[in-house]
Amino acid sequence: MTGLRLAAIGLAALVAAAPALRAATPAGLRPAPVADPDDPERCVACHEREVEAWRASSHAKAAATEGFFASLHRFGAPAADVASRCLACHTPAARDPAAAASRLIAGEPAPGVTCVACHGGSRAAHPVRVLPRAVGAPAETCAGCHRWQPPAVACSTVYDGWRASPAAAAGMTCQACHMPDGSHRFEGSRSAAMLRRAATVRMTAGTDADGPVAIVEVRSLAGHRVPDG
Amino acid sequence: MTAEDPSGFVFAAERRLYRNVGLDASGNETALPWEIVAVAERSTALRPGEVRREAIRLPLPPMPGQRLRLRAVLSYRRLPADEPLPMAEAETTAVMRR
Repeated sequence: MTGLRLAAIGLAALVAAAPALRAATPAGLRPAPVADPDDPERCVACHEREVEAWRASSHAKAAATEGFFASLHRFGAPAADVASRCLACHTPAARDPAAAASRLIAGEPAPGVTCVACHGGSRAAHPVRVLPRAVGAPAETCAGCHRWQPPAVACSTVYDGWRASPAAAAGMTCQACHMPDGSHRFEGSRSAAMLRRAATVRMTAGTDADGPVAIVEVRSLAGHRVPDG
Repeated sequence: MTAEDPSGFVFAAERRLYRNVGLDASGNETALPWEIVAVAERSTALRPGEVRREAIRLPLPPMPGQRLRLRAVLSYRRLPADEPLPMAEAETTAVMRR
């Protein structure tokens, strides 16, 4: 009886608290969890700023852009090849790579590089246990997809260029430029502001009997080749 | 790079291309990532921190005393058909001797 009463009191307390909890949830946030623990929608309740920035990023669209589908069509490979050569970077959280590859070939967009691709960790334990932070982490966090090791597909070759660079020697990681203030936009060559920060041009000119001669000095400010990707 | 008169008329233009060149298994140039097995030595992408100096002579007709505006623009294209996105630019003037 006592037990029954306690349970009833507990239920009553939960029912009473529910409107207060709803009121405390900021507008626009979806309650966690959703069915798929890899779904960024599961993360947005606590990490709104990061997920909103990520939604606008190339990572979010890695398996959804017109360019991606054009390449996939041109690749023309069967689902097994797409699964083994493309998904690890374009939709790494796919639970069933063969099925995900078939859906992509059929033209259905898929989630791109979602939260767990970089943060990893024990999804079942989170949020009790904090997942590894990629911000401020070594550039190796990015190497899985931004490094080309034949016979893998040479979609991104930037990591090894960076590793041999003065920027790497000075301890500048990928995140230092591409995740300023922890931004999850991952801005790169699609960002006009980022392009403006990647190089400078100076010019001097003289003339001789054959006309003007310009000396143009192009200085790369990037920690990797320009262009690269 | 362009040479133009004060009205903006472009008399001459020159271009330099900075890019990575991928090679397929037969040694032919390819832009398809899944065909690339090596990056060519002739790639012209800027190395990290590199300062590249280009001496550019524009093919101009004789026009003694003509003042020209020389403009150098570094721009980025993901694909050849894409609109160029500006990265940096510089300009100066030159007066033609002949």
